[in-house]
Amino acid sequence: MKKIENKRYERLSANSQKRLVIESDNVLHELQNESEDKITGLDYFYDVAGKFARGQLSAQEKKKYIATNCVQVPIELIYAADAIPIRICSGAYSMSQAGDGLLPAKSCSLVSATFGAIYTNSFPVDQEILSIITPTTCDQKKKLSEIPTGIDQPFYTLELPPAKDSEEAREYWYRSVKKFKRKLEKITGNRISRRRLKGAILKVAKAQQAFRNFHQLRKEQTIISGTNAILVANTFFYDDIESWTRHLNDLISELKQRSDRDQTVVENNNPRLLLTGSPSIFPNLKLPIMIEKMGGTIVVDEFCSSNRLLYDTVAVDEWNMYDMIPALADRYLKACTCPCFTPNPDRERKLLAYIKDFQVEGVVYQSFSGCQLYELESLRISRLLEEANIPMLYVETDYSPDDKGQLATRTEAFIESLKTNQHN
Amino acid sequence: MEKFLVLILYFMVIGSNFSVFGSKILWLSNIPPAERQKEISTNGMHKLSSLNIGRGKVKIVQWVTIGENVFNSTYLKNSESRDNTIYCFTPHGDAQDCFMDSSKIYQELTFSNPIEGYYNLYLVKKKIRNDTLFIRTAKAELLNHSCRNGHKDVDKKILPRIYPEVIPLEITRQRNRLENLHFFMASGDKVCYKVYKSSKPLKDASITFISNQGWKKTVKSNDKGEAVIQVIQDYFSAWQDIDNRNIYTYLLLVEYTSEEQGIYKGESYGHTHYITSLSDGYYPSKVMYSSLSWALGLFLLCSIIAGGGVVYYRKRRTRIYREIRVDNK
Amino acid sequence: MNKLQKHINNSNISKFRLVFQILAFLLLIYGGYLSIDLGTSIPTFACPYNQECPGTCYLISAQHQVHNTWASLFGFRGKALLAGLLSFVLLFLILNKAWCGYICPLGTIQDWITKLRNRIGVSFSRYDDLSFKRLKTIKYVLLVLLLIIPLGMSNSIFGLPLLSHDLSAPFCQICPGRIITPLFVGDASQLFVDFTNATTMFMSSLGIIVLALFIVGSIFKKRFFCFFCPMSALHFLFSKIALLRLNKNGENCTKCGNCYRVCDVGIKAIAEDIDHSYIVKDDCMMCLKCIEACPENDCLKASFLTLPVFESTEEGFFSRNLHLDHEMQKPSQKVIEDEKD
Repeated sequence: MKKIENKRYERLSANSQKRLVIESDNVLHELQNESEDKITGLDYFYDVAGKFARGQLSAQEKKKYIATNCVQVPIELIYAADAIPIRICSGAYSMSQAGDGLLPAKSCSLVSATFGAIYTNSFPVDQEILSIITPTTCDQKKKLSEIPTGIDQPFYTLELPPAKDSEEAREYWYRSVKKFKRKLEKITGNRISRRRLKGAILKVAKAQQAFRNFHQLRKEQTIISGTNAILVANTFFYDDIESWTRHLNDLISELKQRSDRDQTVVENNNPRLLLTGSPSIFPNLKLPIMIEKMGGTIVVDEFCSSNRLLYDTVAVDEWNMYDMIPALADRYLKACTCPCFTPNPDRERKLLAYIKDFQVEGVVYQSFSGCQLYELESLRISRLLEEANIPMLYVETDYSPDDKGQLATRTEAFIESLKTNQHN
Repeated sequence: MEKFLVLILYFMVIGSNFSVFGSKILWLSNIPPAERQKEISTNGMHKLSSLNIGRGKVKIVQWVTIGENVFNSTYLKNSESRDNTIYCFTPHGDAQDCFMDSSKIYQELTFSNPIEGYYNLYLVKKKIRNDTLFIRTAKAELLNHSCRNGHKDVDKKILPRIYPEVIPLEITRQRNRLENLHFFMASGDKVCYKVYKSSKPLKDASITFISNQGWKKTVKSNDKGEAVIQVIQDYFSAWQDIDNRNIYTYLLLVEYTSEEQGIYKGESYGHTHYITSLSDGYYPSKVMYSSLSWALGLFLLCSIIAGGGVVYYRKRRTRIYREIRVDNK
Repeated sequence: MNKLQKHINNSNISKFRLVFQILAFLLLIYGGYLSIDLGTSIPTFACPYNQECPGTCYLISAQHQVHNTWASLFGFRGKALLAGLLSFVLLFLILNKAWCGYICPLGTIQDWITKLRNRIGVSFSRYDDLSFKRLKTIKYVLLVLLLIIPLGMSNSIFGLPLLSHDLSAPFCQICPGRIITPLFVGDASQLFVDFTNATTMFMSSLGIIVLALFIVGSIFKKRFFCFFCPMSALHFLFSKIALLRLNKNGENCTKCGNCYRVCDVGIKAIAEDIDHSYIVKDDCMMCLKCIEACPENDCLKASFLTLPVFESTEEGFFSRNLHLDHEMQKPSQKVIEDEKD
């Protein structure tokens, strides 16, 4: 990777990283102090999030790291190649400002933050990243690898089909995944054998099981605030997967005990909300925090940064390579409700199912300005929710803290109207 | 020398009185006289000689013939019938009415609506000649079966029964272990026959087997009255002329002389000579028309073609993508 | 959900199925040694060419019963046909198409061949959509033929002369069960080509060819023959009123496609169809693998007369996975790391 010998660049890099630390510390501080009733299981997650911001996540020495963008990258393959995946979709405002200069003005904040992180080389680990895997999802993510930064980052484009219904798309995706497997073997130097892949799939399945238990816990009582739940899911890549799973299971048992004692963290009669749209990634938890401050409770979300990361499962019939790889591929294509696919009726059905299962009273649809995909879907989703008689609040925002005031007013009004609905 | 020749002549004459070979063998035939040359269906494995008389009802018919050659035997006409006694027994051992229709030209024995199993049908002719009572019995073991009636109590229905009160010299075909209500005996099978004299197995009786084409074999029964004969294939034809559904009739004869005396129809006799014939059939041997080696060869060929085809298709797929053709119209 | 239901839903039904199939195989192939008689309308293959069979499959009875003139079929022989059909339907209705998945001995043989292939590591084939649609109709064609040909042997259809008697029981002559089933009792007598006349040569050769395709096909495609089985087509005619039902709740379906992935026969409609509740298709053999693979609560359900038999649960899915993980962990972790596989 060519280094830029440029004082300006170095200052930009250092500043962005410092500001990232400040941002994340602020958010963590706010979360930790929001109530007196502390959940001890969350301490680990706060700790790990803090380490992430400082770029100190190399608890595992001598391991190879592979960066990923978006949820469609099959992480089981990376584990099977004896490497660690780390998702670098960034939620940092500072990084967004760092990347702004080289991107068009109307870019989505998430993409510019991710780009900024890559550009300033601000990775959460201080070891070399072997590759940055970018699936061809939305336009802006796709083009990141071609922006002339002067630095030569090792991008790899994973070819994702633009539609997921046809057999051709499925076959295309199988071939992409097989090519990806070969590429992984080449860059890590490790062979992905049948045993390793089986072990990786089962390892990730354990994490998925823990997450599902966590997900189901929030159906009945609000024993954990939605923001904390989003944070917990966000930290998935920040630590060794087995350690994360263990801590999540500990958190779940603690929450179960609290639930038995009816010890809720928020009022039980707060309006129950579903959060969907462009993903809120730590440290950009601006909207969830705002909503919960105004008296709403987020019971479930449909973000690719939290819920969709770990929800779907891999079903293998015969544990041989010729079946495991298509099984993996299918899980990342068929079950995915990202709006980069068209048509996308699965997202509507998923939203309706969540609304029914979690007794959701209102939906907050967040979209970053410049995120064309979520913006384009918002009309359809709003019509759908109108028919289902669920009030929806459409919020167009970005990473900058300037619109906090306006956001506060709108969310407060929305939640008040939901409260009135409750009384009627 | 002359005396020797006279002795031989004498024995031939005497012997001929005792010989039953020649035109005196009485047996029951499946094949109707007029259609002897034509193929008739004997309904094969289910029945031996029956006629359908409509609405599922059957009538069993047997014609009376004389002669040792299956093809050249004479059918007895009704005008010639004298001294016939007919016995018919059901598979359960009860007597069944069976009559000879005097309105027909040829002697035929008929009975209707038979039940499932093997019937025993006997025709007995008695005659006194040279102070000897000749008792000629023509026996047929007739199978009646329709799969519609199920396959229960098979052993009871196919049991070879004997009726010593009315038939002194009896010969039965022993059923083999796997036999059931379907008749499958074919050339090449080893068949066991058992001879009874007044309900006791008869030792050292001479049993003669006459095949469809006239081949003869004589064996003696053992201590238990049994004799095993291997049915031969005595004709060979081009493979396309084999009719594997045709039952070829064969004859089985047993003779026995005893010193029983008595009076029959006013005449006295000093010896009794029994001749019993059993007429049965066999299918052509399976090896005449079916082949295992061809089957295995065809199986291997098809497996190799199919397996090879799949492997080739798989290897080809790794090279080129499946093509989507566009019509040039 | 009470404890028993929970235990069943968490269990590995594939293992249970393996044992059940072996028992049913032993019963249907060797049952005659114990003089068991199950009648002549068994809704699965139980070949009477095997001397020790405990009953016969309905197809051979149907072919023989249909082999009558029109007059008798509309008269007294029609009663026998209807009685046979009725006993077939009554037996079938109890287990619906699970007769195919859990009991049929030919299916069991194919599953064993599949396991062997899995062990060796050869990959299996799937049909693409177009081939699937086209090949599916073969079983209906076979069903119609096996009923029409015996009719044509006793009656003149469309003015054609009566068909040769050598075509009697036409499906039995091409069925691989006729040759394979007696082999298990040591009887290889059905493996022949009959040279009596052209018809018998053709039919017996066709039987051998179908046997070869059966063996080779089962190696490369799971449950190859079941796709072409006329018994399966006959089942489907009565499947809608059966007692054992497989239902889907489309609302809870995330269209992840897991059920389609593990389906031996390759029925896409389980995954795609979110409108209908009863999703047993004509190829389905109710092996219930789809329910095992579904990770959503209350999505796929097998029930007998409204009593739940086996349901898809999240907990069940993960506990089966966990079980696999335990099996893998038995050699120490180090071995997995250092394996030169």
